[in-house]
Amino acid sequence: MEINLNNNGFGNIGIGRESFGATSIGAGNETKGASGIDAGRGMHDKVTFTRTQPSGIASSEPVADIPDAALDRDDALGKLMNAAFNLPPPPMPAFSS
Amino acid sequence: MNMEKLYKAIAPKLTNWLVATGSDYHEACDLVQSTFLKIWNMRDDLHDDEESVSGLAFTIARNLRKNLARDKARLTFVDEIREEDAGSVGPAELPSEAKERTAELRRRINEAFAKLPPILREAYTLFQIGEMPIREIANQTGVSENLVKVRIFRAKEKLQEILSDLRVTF
Repeated sequence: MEINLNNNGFGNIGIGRESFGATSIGAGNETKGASGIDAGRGMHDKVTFTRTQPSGIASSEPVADIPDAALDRDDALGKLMNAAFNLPPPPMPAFSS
Repeated sequence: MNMEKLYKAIAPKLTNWLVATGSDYHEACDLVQSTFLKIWNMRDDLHDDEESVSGLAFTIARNLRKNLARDKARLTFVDEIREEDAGSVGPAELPSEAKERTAELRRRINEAFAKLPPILREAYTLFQIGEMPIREIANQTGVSENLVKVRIFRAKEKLQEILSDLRVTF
């Protein structure tokens, strides 16, 4: 199997953003603009989070509802990670009371 | 408590998460074994379910690694290791790392991880390599599940950009 993070078939950036954009994040929570990341391969919408958390929450990180499809562990990036981090664990230690 | 079953389920994820977040393989193996010895000693107080033991295992391993780093720093200071000796302290040769391509891939990904803000790196590595549920990551990091999802999403975006030149065939 081949994983190519730089071809259009990869599509995971696209899939992630497209499915993201397709969900109801809601007006006011996002701004969209063309991203130059995939210039030459077709443009994808880029979502910029602008909504901030309600006051009282310590972090000022922007939040938004992320659809589960955007968090697929088995997409191209996930497969790349699985290929890289597939080391065997050590033998189980001998447990004794 | 079925330790063998828990070990088989958790140890591979924990080993790889430790390697992905800065440990060499030998250190990761030591940490995993020490972690499970601690869990064994606590077994009477624990629920026999994978998710709760997994969360505990990651917490113990993280703390053990912090202690180890602190001890190493102290030892280095005390012993004043000579620069010419440092070459012999490198990561151990590993059977799996005979696969150069995988080792190179891991090196590239570790470099990419290093470019991520720590909070994004933590969320993503726990999610992808630790295979931890969002709820558990939220518990571990003390933030909402929504924020964990945002961090993972942002980490994925950045990693896809950084690693966009990678072509892996296997």
